[in-house]
Amino acid sequence: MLIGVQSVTFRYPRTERVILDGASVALEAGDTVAIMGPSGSGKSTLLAILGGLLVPTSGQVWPSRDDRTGLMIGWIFQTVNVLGRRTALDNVALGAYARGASFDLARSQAEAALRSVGMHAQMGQRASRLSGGELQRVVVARALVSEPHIVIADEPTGSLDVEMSGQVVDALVAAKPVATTVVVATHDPEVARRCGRVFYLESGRLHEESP
Amino acid sequence: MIGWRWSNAPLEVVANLRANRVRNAIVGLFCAVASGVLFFAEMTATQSSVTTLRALEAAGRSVYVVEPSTETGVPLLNSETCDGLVRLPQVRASGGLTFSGFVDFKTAPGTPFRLFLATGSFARVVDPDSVAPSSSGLPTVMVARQALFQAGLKDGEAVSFVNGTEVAVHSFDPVLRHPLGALMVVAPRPPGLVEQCWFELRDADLAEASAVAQSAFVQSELRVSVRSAQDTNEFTTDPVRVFEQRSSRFGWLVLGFVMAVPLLVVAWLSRQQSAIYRSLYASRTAVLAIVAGEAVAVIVWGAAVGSAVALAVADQGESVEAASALVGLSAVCLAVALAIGLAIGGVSMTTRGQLTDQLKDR
Repeated sequence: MLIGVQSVTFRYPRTERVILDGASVALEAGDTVAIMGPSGSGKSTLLAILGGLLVPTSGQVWPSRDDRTGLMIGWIFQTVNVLGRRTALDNVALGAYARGASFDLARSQAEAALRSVGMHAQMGQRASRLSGGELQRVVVARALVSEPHIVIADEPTGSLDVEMSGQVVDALVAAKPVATTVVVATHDPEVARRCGRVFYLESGRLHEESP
Repeated sequence: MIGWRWSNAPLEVVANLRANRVRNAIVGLFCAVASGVLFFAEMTATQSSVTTLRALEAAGRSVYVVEPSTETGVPLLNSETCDGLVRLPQVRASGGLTFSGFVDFKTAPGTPFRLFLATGSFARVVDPDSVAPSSSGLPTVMVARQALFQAGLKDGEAVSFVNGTEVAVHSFDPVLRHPLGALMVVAPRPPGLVEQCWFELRDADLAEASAVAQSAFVQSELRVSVRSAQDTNEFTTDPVRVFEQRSSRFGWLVLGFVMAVPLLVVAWLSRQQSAIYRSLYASRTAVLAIVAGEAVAVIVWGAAVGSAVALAVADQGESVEAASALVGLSAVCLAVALAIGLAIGGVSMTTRGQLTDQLKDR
């Protein structure tokens, strides 16, 4: 198992509401996983716990905090997080910096990553001038250029139309290395359809849909 | 390897400076104007004090007069003690003085000049620029420049003096430092008792002058008093005090906060940028270096430009002394240091908190 949680519960401090109630999931290298569920069902919380940004109220997380030093995670959020005044190439190069790449190496890797998501032509453009779908593909390239063990995408197509959503997810699935695990939180059945495993999160409980 | 190379941080600073050039130019211009105003205010305040101080020093700000505490009308001070003061490191020149009555010259009969008998380096006390006359074989009498002109004499001319003694007259300029300087004639006299002892300290300090005189004259068992040669009253300004109490002295504090405001606003608006770097495995220190580095560059650029322009403007009017420019520069440097400290603190705040929240925060 590459990453996972076992019997995890989560409750925000000073609230009674249980966000996650005994959720368990084990992901292997190369898995492509969709986590579906209604708004507020705890998808983002589960991803944050998987990614080590949140500590669960109870339950176990693998790898533990101490064992994560060598685990590279690429993040993609619904809100497009880019440096708007910098070019697409600059933004993707930041992902390569995460791997300790030098300036020149980072730029050549970023160029290759942009090509792999079909954004090579726009690499010199300012991020603020790109469309939502193009921006999200830049973010996909930035996540992948760091050669992550796992990509965690929190509703990456939530603000995109159907056509753009398809382009982004296709870019992610097609460009990812075989061993990279992808976890996507989504409302979109079309996105889930492109993933190998699909989980549903409802009332804090997680269950996997049979293939 | 996971994590950033440190060498990439300055490259990011440069790239962000270029990418945000319009914003940075506006903030930099703001810093330039603020720095320029402070630099100019401090520099002109200092320049004004320095000019006043120079004028007062030329007029004998550091010259003191020792007299017996009780007025007896007869010379009581030992001229050798007075002349010996010059051997003290803090004393620039010293000499005894006794008023000897009025004298006239054949070239201007009937015009009474004031004749003083002096010892030591009295002439240098009242005229620091006076030079010892080259020996012509004749006794020398120093005559105030105005008196020399009034008597129709020339510098170095041999004239018949009191009792028909042949002397050489040399001009000096005691007008600024001695109240009777305009018509002053000073003849040398052998060591003995004098009415007054004049001396100049290297720095003006009445307390020190008193201590110097009291300790020098203590052996004579004579009570002496020391006063400044300059007349002072409630309208006399002390340039040192004026400088110390200038209104712009805390300007650096105000300017530091003023310059920090736009930088803190920019830091607050850049919190998502900080979160992006953090999500890409840049350490908090690296993020701080990148975001604060941009702010530091803008402040320093603004302060340097503002100071240079203020210096150039001030230099158009009258030449600015290095000391004045240094005071202006020091104030700006203090303000810049404060603004940088506040900006770093602000940026540091933006690198804390929940990463997921900051990335969603737009």
